[in-house]
Amino acid sequence: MWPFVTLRAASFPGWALLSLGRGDVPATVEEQSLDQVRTLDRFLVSVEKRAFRIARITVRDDDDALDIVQDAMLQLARRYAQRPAAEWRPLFYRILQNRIRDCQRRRKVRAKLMSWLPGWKEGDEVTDPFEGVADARPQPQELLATDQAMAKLERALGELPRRQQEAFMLRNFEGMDVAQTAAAMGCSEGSVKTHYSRAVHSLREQLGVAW
Amino acid sequence: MVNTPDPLEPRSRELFEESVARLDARTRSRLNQARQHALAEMNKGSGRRYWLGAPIGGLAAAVLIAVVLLRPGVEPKQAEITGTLLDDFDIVADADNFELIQDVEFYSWLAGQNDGAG
Repeated sequence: MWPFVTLRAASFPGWALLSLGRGDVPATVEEQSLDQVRTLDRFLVSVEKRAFRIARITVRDDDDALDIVQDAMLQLARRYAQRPAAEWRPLFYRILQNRIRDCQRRRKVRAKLMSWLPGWKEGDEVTDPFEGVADARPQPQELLATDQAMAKLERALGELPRRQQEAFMLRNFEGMDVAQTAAAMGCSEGSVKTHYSRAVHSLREQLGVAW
Repeated sequence: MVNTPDPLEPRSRELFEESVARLDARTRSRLNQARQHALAEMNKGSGRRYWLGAPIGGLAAAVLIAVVLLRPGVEPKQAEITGTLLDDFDIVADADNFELIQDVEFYSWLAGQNDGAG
């Protein structure tokens, strides 16, 4: 039996390029595509805010964190939307972690390049002039305490080695199980457990018993 | 390994969830825009990819099949060749590798190399 390629088959995903005469493609492709868009939309709604917070904790900049999340969404939609929906979460966070790493590498390179400029001093970076200004809005005491506790946690998380940070935030904040976390981190389940355990231990040491 | 949960774990999760719930309007708006952009790219990008890449990919696939199967003086073992071709196309025709599919010349050369080695 000679394999053949039909024009109709050519308008579908790569695996369908080779049509072996098995009959016409489904007539409801447009409906399936719309359904897929809706499913992906629901998924992205469910992760976008937490993904932003996770990125923000690591890169400590709102705009960078937003760019990272947008990039991750784009990559997931472009490259992995055809994958089963059950795979999206670990895939999305894998992409997110890669983008976070890229951002951190770019900053290191930028800092190195800037250090070559005459008159540049280490630590002499452009900072937001309003960064140190206290928030003048009146805040309830409980919110203030919460903010302080979160700020302390974020600082402590920032001190962790990258892999411990990833394991802790994916397991604890995102609620992924060990297998999903391993897929997102690209490591074994045993490694996830080790990184997580060390992260909790380090955080407890930094935050103290009273936190 | 942590055997008994440290109170730090649920507390940190609680604080995190609270920080997510209290995201400011500007950030929420930008996240919403980012999501809409991604969904639009999904339709545009996949459509464009299929429109530009798939017919070319289909043509490349047809050329490669023709080159391999119509080699003079070689009796094709149908099932074996079809199976091998399907394996190769599974990799080559992946949606992410349409730029490879477009390199028809390369695959024609590759088929010739396999023929010479076999």
